[in-house]
Amino acid sequence: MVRHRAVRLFAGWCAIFVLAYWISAYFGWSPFADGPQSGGGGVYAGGPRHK
Amino acid sequence: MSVTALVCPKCGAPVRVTAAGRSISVVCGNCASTLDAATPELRLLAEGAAALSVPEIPLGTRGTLAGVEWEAIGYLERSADGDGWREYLLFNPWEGYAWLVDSGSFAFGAAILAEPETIERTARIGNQLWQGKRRYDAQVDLALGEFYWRVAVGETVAVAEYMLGSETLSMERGSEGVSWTLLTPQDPGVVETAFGIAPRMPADPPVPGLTSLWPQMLVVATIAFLALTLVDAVFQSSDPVEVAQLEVPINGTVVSQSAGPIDLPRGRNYVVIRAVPVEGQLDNEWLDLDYTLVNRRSQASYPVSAVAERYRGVDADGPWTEGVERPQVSMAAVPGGRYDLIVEATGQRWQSQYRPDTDQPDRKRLVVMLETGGTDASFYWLAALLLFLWPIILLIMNGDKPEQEDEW
Repeated sequence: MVRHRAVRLFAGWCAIFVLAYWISAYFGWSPFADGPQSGGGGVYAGGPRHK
Repeated sequence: MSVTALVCPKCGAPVRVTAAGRSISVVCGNCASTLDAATPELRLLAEGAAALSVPEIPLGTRGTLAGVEWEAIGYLERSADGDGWREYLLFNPWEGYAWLVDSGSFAFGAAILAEPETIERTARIGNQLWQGKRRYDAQVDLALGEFYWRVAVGETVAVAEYMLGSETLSMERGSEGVSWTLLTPQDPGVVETAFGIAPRMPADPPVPGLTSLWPQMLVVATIAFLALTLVDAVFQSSDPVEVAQLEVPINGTVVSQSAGPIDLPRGRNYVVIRAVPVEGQLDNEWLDLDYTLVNRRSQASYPVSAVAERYRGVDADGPWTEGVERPQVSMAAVPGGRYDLIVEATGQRWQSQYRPDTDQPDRKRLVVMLETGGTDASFYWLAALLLFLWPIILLIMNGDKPEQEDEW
């Protein structure tokens, strides 16, 4: 079915996005996430928290 | 083959008649005069007027195509709407006549004796249905050699072409009646080898128009979309869990609450936090929400903020509302572990000409929901869009493209 070069290239294009989506899902990543925002990964410096 | 050598009555040049007794006219290769091949003295039918050109395959050249030895006995240059091509009349004493059409590449034309049945834009031979492709008037611009009809420069025939696969069924209607020819494309080099002419540069392989590939690309995109959906199902998020409830005064006072423990099971986690005001809508009010996930072991914090807001009013166009009352924010790639969620909220009222109802409570109750382990719907739909982008573009371009050569 996939005989033409352009179709093979397009299949590669699709595979890239499926793979990227799988990798992003596996690592819980998204280009559209709202956070963590600046300061992410730092040490919590104040305010109440559960002990 | 019986070859008769005669002399042109016009210029005295020798004239060769290969299919003596069958050819009706012969065109002198020296002066282009058309002679009556049916008469022994080659009666002059028309004086040559067209400038002579030399056929690439010299008349009298023999070549074998599909196991049959043919001799090129006639040469025509024809044109339609300014586009020209060349045709060689081939002759074999046992097989009769055939055509070799040179329009950049060669096609072998065999006469169809049984007239196909034509219905509207189709022609039928047995159970083969040919689709009409082009109709045009073709005229003879130059003729050399001998022919089975009385050829004349300027002679015009009406041509209708029908296509089936790579073959063309050509119908020509002229003063001599109707003739049908089946044109079969010849592979590059076959005719050149058979007739000993210089090989032509192989034409570029026929590239199907990119836009015509959209159905194949649509199939590929659909398969990829199913794979995408499968990935989405495998990484399905947990059900939303209510992790905190707050009462937020609408006076700028910061309210804080800690919720936990929240376990993020994967190495890296996608976390969605949603705030849902309960017991009444926000009314020209907004809630600033600061969330911080704090890892119990490392104290690493991951902040994100949101705003719940709803405004309404009346202007010249009538009543209006705006704002997202149930904001949802996401955090990507949060490391696994046990966390607390710190929620800090501040409520404010928007001062406007519109006076809020006086019975609105000055505290808003807020529920914070959290879900983990899923994927980003925005990313999912973006990926889906990119999968179907090319098939859709090609489909649109294919629809816009005028049908080439469809000149019925």
